[in-house]
Amino acid sequence: MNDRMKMTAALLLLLISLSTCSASLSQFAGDWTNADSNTGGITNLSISVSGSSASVHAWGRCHPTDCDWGTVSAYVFSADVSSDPVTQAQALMAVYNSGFSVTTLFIKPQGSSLSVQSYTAFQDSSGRSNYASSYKFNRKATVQLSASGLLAGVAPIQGMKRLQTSILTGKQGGN
Amino acid sequence: MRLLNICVMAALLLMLACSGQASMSQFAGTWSNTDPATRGITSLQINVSGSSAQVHAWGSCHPTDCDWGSVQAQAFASGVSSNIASDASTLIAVFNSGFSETTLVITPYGSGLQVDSYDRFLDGSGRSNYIASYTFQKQAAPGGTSPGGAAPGGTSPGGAAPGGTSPGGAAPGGTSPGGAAPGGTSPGGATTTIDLTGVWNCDDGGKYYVRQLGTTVWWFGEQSPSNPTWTNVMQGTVSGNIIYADWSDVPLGSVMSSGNLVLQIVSNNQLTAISKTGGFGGSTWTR
Repeated sequence: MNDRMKMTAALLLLLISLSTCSASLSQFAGDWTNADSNTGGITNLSISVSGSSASVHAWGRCHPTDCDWGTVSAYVFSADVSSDPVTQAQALMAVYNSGFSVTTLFIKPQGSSLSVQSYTAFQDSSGRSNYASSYKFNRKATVQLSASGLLAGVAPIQGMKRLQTSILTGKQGGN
Repeated sequence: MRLLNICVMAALLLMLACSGQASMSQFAGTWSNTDPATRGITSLQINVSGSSAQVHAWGSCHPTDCDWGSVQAQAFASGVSSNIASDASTLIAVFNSGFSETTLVITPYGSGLQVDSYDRFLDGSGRSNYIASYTFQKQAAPGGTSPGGAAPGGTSPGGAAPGGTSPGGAAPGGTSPGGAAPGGTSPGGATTTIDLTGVWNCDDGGKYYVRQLGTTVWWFGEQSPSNPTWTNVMQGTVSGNIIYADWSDVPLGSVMSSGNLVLQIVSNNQLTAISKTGGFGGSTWTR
């Protein structure tokens, strides 16, 4: 019981510390997929970073293939007015305007994942209620090309390197 | 072990408090920041009527808080078919001062409110957009008077937030932090004609050796050159005509304290403390 409580407390403290730390802007960069593969909301994000700027590309759940929301410039937020957003970015804000609705995404690091709060406000007087959604996004598994063709790589990268080595050299397992 | 139990319980309560749904009425009322020393938003007044809400905000200013004004908020529920009046979980209020825009994301937090503030500068000053988080508790005595009172000549809605200026800016009569400041500071906060470097005297009887490099200011202060009772160091950032600083005593003297300072650059030869924590004694510096 004591061990379980200690473990729970440690996990909670880790969770709290992970959710409050600041991040470099590069931590947001990459391709991200919703941790909930059955989500009816945003399925994928692709975030590009250049200097202190960032752009967000989003896809929403559609049938038979996801809908492309397009790419928008994101606002970068740091801890204070003197912070360097490149090294101390804490959140991104991306606003999508579809004409009949405006969706604002607040994106924050959550450990090695991203926490995304989405707020959709309707502009079309349809009577639909504005709604909020929360998502967690994980970094997409990487895919790399090698001289011998396409290698289906999976994170972590260490695993990828080992796979490449074994294919190219025939060596199996071990270090 | 007991501490662990308390931690676990507190964390679970926190998680429960964060995940609850709310009705619009849960947002209504007059709210004060749980941090009375905040340099950001001090008070909120939220009026609810059916499924709509108005948010009135006040920011920290001296001598009285700055009135950011009142804006229509957007309310959000969990789905497009939800009843906003009974199921609202979030309010978003946007304040535009002209030189900056502050977006407040307001969610219930137990019996209080959690407010995440996103400040974005529109003036090309080069200042970084910044976020701040606050918790608010409902004011005990709903008295009818507005929390902030008359907007003074101080900073505006993002007001005294870390770094200084802010959105509400609408403070009548007040210079907004991004605005022109005595001595010709530029909106970005970088001084153009002010140079604080030098030796200053303070009404606490001490002598302060100040160095300014761009928007960063340091000092070493001592009560006396020999056997001083106290000595302190300070590091701050100039934003407009305001310096936001941290200070700490150092053990050349015997007093050991530390805290924050907000100083107004009255002129190239005078500084005045707007707010002080940690028991700092001095209020006016001249040279």
